[in-house]
This record gives sequence, structure tokens and C-alpha cells, in this order.
Amino acid sequence: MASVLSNFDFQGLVTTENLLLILRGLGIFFVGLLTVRVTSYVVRRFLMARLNEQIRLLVDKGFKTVGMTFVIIFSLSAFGVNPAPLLGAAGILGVAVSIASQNSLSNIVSGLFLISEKPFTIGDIVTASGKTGIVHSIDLLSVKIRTFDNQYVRIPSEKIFNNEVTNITRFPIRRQDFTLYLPYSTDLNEVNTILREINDENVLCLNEPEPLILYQEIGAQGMKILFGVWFVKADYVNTRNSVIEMIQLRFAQRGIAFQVPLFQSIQEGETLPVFLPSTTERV
Amino acid sequence: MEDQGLWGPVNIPNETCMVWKLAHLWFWIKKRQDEWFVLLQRHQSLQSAPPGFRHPLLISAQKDQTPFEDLDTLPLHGESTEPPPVEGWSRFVTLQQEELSILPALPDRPLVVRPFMRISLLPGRWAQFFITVPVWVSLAARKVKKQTVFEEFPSQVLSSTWFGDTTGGELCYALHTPLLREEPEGIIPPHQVVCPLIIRNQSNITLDFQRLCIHVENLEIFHTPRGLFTNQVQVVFKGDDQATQIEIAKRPNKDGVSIELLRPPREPMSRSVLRKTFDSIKEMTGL
Repeated sequence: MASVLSNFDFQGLVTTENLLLILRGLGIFFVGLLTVRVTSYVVRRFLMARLNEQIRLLVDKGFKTVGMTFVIIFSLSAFGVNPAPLLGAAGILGVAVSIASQNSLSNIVSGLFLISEKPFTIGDIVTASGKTGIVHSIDLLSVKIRTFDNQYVRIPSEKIFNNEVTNITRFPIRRQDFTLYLPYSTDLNEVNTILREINDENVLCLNEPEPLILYQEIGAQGMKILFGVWFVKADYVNTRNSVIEMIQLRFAQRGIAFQVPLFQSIQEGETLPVFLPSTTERV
Repeated sequence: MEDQGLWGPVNIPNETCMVWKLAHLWFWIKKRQDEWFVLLQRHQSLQSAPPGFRHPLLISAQKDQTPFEDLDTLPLHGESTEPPPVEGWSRFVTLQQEELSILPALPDRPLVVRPFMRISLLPGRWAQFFITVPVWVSLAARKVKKQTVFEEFPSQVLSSTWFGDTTGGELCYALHTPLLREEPEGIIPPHQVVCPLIIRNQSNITLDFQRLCIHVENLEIFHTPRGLFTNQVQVVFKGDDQATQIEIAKRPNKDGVSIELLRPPREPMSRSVLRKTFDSIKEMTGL
């Protein structure tokens, strides 16, 4: 090895002609790089301003990839390297890679369908594959979401395409449901009045559409009541906290207790009681 | 009799705090060098505090032997006071030579006006109504003729509501009103702006409505000797299948009285537009 290196004519390589070739190649590379970046910016900023964010990102990535491929080919030509064998090798490599990565192709096709179908856009809050978060990017291969505890989750496009996805923020307003369990002795008219008062007085709850008050069932845990308030999608946390706070406060003020599950253990030989006493804990 | 003139430039000396009352809202403003400190307190927050909770403002009023009720009889032009020892002050940095202006404003969203009962307007008829809208307060730093609004708050907090269906529509404030047929008598309270409204039914069907959406953010506020008025709004109903035409007059329809423009619209709009204005309860519900 040492003899090979010692016999190599390094001085012969450093000629004015070669230096000019290198300079020309580097010049073409950097000018090309700059041109691709500036053109990409102009296209993104002005020509695609009205397009959807995810299509803009996709076109931008495609434009940059194609542009940089040309820049590299031209730079290699300027260096005096014939790019034809390289392109041929790249083609063969491409076929090999595509055969080896059928899953990726499937993801790409799913990604294309997702982009055309638009079940969600960047910035939407979605639940997909058991994860809930804000859509960070939609690429051909995968969708990235940022969860509320600030984790970055990558979900393959195919998985999203073939499974159920919930877009929580698609519509401008939402309904938030609260399930209440109350003792059988509760005056339902009073409960109805209190819940309507809460909806009217809480500035985060919309007056219209009207709140949903649904007596769901009389079951083992007492009376099950569903209270649904409408709110603007951005106010989720504040609405939830303030409504629960108001329910707790108003029910306590009017002397209405919540049902707590009661369990009674009976030893062998003891007689079964006819009914469980409906004792409840005051809030 | 004219109103007391709450609105306009206010001279607050350095290191002085002043308090105003508008309906159920009290607001304190203190100046210190190039800074303004603003505190808001609403009646609800003082009176309907949770059981066992004593609001610091009530405690301080008792301690200083100053009955809290004194705050109810404040003059409109404000009164010097000690800054109350409560949390919730906001701090704004301006220029030392800038003066303060207190200006009225209309709500920042459209209003969905709900009359106390359903109203029917027969085909070919028209009717004039008057809506009293709770005013918003704008605080502006004023230098020569240039004003910069740095804080805005409503004199009365209105509930939010939705106008349209659940997949599209717009966020509005809800306003329950008797929808008066006559202009309110006497001096209009300073926390209210009167919006004169004409509804014309140019269709062949009876116009039944339980609510109507008024885009107050497109209206101007005028000062008249009797109080604050907006431009006259005319709503022309041409049928269920056609959009409603809304025309905004250049000023309230008040002849022979001096009228001064106090606030331009938040969002200027052409004088005549087509919009969805009426809605029935059936379209709004849905589980």
C-alpha cells in the first residue's frame, strides 16, 4: 500500500487545468444550489401561495430534489466526470431499492391518496393509531404529529390510510360531553335548571346550538345524565375545566350530591338485604 | 339634557389612579411615568364569589371604612382613588408625553339579536326597531392627532353563540333584547349604543324570525346630545332562497341634532351587501 502511494504522481494531478476544472465544477455547484433555493422560495412564496400547506411542502420537496439532481449532474460534468455511467448505476440501484422496499411504495401510494383526499391538514388535531396530537407534516411516506406532551410521532401513511382517523378540529365548533351519576332521589327538574344556568353563564359555552341534556339510564350506579355543551374548538381546556368547576360548585350550593358506587360484602350465612341504602356523600 | 361626556381625552396626573364605573364594570387606571396600569373588576366577580371566599376589594373597602357602595355612585368623568390592592393589573408602556383617551367601541364580533318573542313581519311591510348594544371601552394612547388603542374590554360580558350550522358559520355574541319599536326615551346610559334598524319584507311570504345577525363590527359610533348611536341599518328580506340585502346609512337618521363621529367601524364595509341575516331555531339545533 505504502509503495503504491509513494509511486503515485500527486504533483501531476495539481495542474492549472485540473484546478480550473475543480473551480468550474464548484462554481456550477454553488450557483446551481443558490438558483434552486431562490427559485424554490419564489415558487413557494408567490406561485403556490393559494395552495394547501401540505401540497406546497410536497411540491417544494419535489422541486428541490429534481433541481439538486440536475445541479449535481452538471457539476460532475464540469469536473470532467462523465455522469452517464453514474446515472445508469443509479437506475439499476433504483430498481433494486424499489423491489426491496415494497412497503415504502405502498406508503407512498397511501400518502398520495391522503394528500388528495385531505382528511386533515397541517395544524389539525387528530387521533390516529392511538395517538392524539397536532399534525406537524404530511409527507408521502408518513405523517408526523406532535402530541400534547410534546412527543414527535411518525405514523406511516399506509397505517393512517387503512385505519380510522378522527379529525378533532375539522369543524369550527364542538360539543363536549360530561357524564353525571346522581342518586335516584335527585330532582331532575332542578338538575336541568342548574345545567342550563351553567351553559348560559359560562362565557365559553355557546348559547346556540343549545346544550344537550340527556337522561341516559337508571342503572346500578344511579341516574346517568349526559350534559353536552358546545364550544369553539380552541377553548377545549378552559371550557372543560370551567364547566366541571361550575357543576361541582352549583350542585353543592343547591344540595345535590353525586352518586358514589356502593359495595356491600356479605359473609356466608348472612341474609341478603332487600336493597342497598342510597346513602351518598355530599360534595 | 345632554349626557355627561365620559368619552374623550382624560388627564391623569403622574402617580395618580382614577376609577370609573360603567354598568357592572369598574375600571381603574393609574399613570406612572410612561406606563399605564389598568385594572378591571366586574360586579359578578365581587358579588358571586364562591362561599367562604372574601374578595380583597371588599375586605379593603371595609378596612378603610369606605363603604363598597361608594363605587356605585361614581361620577362619569371618573374619580381619583387609591389603587385597590388586588391582583389582575395590566401594564402598558407608552410614551411619557402621550395622553389617555377613553373611547366607546362596538363588540368585536357580530351580534345575534334574540328578541324576547318570535316576530312576524307580513309580506310587503316594513318596521323600525331599536337595539341597545352594550358598549366596549377602548383605551388609547394619544399623541397630537394619532391614537393607538392599547386595551379594549366590554362593559358587559355577553355570551358567545354560533350563527349558522355546526359545520360552518360564525362566532357571535348573543344579545337578548325586547327589540324596541320606539327610540329609548331620555338620556341613553353611557354603556349603551343604540342601533336603529329597519327591516323590510319584500318577499311574498311572512318573515318569521327568532334571531337576527347584525354585523356591528361594520358600524360607526356617533355621539348625539342624547347618547351614542350607530348608523341606521336597513335589512331587506327578499325570500328564503335569496340572500338578505343589508344597507348601512352614512349616519343615524336624526335630523336637527348635532352628530359627531366618535369611532370608525372596526372593519369597513361597502354600504350595501348581501348576507345571511335571519335564521330559524330549526336550523340551529341538531344533536
